[in-house]
Amino acid sequence: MELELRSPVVLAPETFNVLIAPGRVLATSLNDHPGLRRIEALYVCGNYSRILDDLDRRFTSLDVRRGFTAHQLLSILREAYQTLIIFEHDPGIFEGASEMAEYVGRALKEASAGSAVLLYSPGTDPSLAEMAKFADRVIVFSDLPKGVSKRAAKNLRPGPKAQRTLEAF
Amino acid sequence: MWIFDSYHRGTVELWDRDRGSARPLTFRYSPSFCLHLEDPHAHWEMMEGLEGRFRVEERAFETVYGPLDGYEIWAPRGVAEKIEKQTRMAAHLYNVDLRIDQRYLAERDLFPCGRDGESRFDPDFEIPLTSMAIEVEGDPRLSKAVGEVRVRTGRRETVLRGAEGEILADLFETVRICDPDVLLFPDGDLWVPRMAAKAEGYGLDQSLSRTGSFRKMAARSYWSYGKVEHKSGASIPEGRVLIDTKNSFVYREGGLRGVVLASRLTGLSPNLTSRFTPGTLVSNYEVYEALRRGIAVPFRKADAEAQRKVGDLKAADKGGMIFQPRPGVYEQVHELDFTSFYPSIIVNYNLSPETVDGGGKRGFLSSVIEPLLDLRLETKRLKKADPRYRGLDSVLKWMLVTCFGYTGYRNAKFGRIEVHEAITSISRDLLLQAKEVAEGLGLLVLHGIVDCLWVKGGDVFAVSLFKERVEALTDIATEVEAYDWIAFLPLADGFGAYNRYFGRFSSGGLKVRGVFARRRDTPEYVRRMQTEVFEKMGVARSIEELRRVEGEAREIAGRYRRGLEGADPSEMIIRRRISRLHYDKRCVQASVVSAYRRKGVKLSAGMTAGYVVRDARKWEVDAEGDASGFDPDYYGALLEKAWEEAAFVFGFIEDGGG
Amino acid sequence: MGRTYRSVRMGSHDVAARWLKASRALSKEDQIYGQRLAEMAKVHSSEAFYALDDPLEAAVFSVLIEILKKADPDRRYKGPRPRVEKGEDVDI
Repeated sequence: MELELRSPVVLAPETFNVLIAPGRVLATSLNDHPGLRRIEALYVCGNYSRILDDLDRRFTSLDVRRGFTAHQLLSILREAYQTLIIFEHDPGIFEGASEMAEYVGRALKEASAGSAVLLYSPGTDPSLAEMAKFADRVIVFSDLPKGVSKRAAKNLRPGPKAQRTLEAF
Repeated sequence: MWIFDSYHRGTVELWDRDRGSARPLTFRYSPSFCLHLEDPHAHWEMMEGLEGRFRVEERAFETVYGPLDGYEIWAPRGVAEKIEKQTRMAAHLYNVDLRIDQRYLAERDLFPCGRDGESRFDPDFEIPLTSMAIEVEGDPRLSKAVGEVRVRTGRRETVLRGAEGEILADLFETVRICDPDVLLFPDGDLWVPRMAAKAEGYGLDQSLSRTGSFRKMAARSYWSYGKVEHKSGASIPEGRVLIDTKNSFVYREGGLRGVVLASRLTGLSPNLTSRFTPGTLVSNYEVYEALRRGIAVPFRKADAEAQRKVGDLKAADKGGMIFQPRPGVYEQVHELDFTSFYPSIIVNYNLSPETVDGGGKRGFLSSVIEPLLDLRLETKRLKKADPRYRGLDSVLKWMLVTCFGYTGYRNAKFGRIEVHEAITSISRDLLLQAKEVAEGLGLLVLHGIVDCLWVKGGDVFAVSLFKERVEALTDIATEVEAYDWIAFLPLADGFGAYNRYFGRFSSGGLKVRGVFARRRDTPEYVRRMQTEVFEKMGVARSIEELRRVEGEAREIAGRYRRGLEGADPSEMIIRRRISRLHYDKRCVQASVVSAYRRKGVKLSAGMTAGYVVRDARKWEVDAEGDASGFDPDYYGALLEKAWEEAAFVFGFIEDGGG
Repeated sequence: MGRTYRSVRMGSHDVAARWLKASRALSKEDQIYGQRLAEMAKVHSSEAFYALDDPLEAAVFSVLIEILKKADPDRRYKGPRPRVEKGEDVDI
């Protein structure tokens, strides 16, 4: 069953999706979604989260696990079992460890064998681009003029053949 | 043996003071690392390959969480990194990135700067080392030339002058003849690499290192507690301790004894302990203790926090307890301070990565912090009678302060965020209990912040009982200070600021926190004004007496205002850390970077740079040393703000407060 | 590591700032009460974080405490009434 966070952010089961959008897009999607509180969902982030503070106060059922290092993220993703896994990207985790982005990207793809996985970031950076290579779908929202958002989308080089869609808004 | 320097150069080299200064003891040592695989069968080919090329033994090894089945592999670090890649990061590796000389010593229960049979936790120890102080005239950041050099051994001082080549030749000869074990050299980490390079140019044999070689530490910028810090590189001599006395935190706090104590505790040579921050020292102390106990040290931080509900995380994600002060001036106040609060909580509540979820056994972290804490309590007691222990006490205090931060630090080998959260949770409860004890005795709680409480009222007996009861309840030592008066300052919205106050101790002297006079970026002229005003206020022992000194305090501020235009620009230097080198918008920091670039001085992120504001509206600044003028309006405004901070007291009293 | 969530105190101050802004839309006579409300929200929110995780709850808690204090200017209230244990019925 697909999970529609908000049009057009629809997460098909067993897919790895990337969402690049302002924080309020994800926060309101999570807050407004009626079914989200009935499914098992895991929120993964680094030390600082832009989104958790904006979650509705009644949204208490969400599982959360923070990874402060890339290796911790790998452990978390390998142990995750929830139907939906949301990972809020923290570029600081990959500082001085850029080679780990590939491993985390693979781990996100492997996690999608049993879950819908959403990698979220407010913007792009090299480590996100590396992880996005393993994604099935990349969705880019932007408040900026169209030209810039297209550039942002272009920066995400097309991933392996498995990636089906690259959309920019 | 009394080891005063150690390092690894293919073999472990230990310099023993008892053997003189000829050469080091050399030991062959092939360290191993440990590997645990959750699914060994999936990697059988890799294991076969390893067994074919290296010594591999199948065995169980101890970790902080208990024994793990795996392998011990005698191979270099590069092999461990290849195993990681081959197993796609599924391998759990231990004892990979350790300092080999430290590990060698720990495994044999040896430590630097001490003898067999001595306790590392003894506050009394000898230092059988000879020292020489070297000072080069001038700022190495502004000029690379070696000008006049002063050399001091014992009571004898020699000044070396002349052409640069001659000065260097004389210096090297002096060092060769005196052959000191320790060089105390302000900015030595900047001068020594240059001297070594210049020696080559002049065809001289430098004698700063006893072997002729240096070990290099690279300069770097790094994040720490939300700020960029900069650590300059170093050329560390072999067989001789070089302490950059200007830039060594440990030396500044504890002198040579502090550096040596850090060495005894961490198993690292004094050359390293004089260059490390307290956080790095405490981390190395934990590593040394783990190795000494046969506990394997994880290579990567892979154990993540436990999963929990978002509501539970929110409840746990808090800091220390705070009781907001009501801004004002208060008489007859007492401050109760818990000694080494967080480390005491770690020890008393047996908090450790493997015990925080429960479990009866003594945890690694609590058992390791306990002797450090006991030593600190001892030096704190000893320093009251003998000031010689102040330096050691300070070094220990800082190591203990940072050990809490280290429990939550992402790269800490034995860190676990749940331990960090348990400490702050217990600390909130304990401060709350202390507040309840105070109120139960009829004392009024004015302010509290994490590990201290300010109370008012009651007589000497009540305050003494307060201290006694809090210590009995919490099982943590406390200290009480009495104030004649104290002022808690407001924020812009009128509510009380945390940690911004000043007051007069009943024993004389002032305590000042968070105000201009205490901030590192305050220009000297402004600092002097505020300090003078505080000293005037410090004469007053009551609110009534404060009222009487107001006139003189205003006169001081007036004098500084009148003198501002004619003041020396060197007193207007503001010193701030430069967080980045590139800025999108115009701002002071961008101007500072440009000003230094114009001087030909390259700044790195995290470095502190001094500057004078020439024109605030145009963001124009001059680098320290270049300023011939300054913006009087800008500095006038700073002076005014500093005065208003102090003058809050008079305004409050006049409004009928106090 | 630094903390993941904004502190309850900062959050309560944000709530207070929003209430202050909202009070601009009130009539001139009522605006001062909006300002007073925003101030009351901040008085105890620092301490409230001890047991409360929600900034709005902490702000409301702070305001209610201040209201109770205002309603008892002489501080007559000494605490909850002691419970009286109901004794056994006795036949006279």
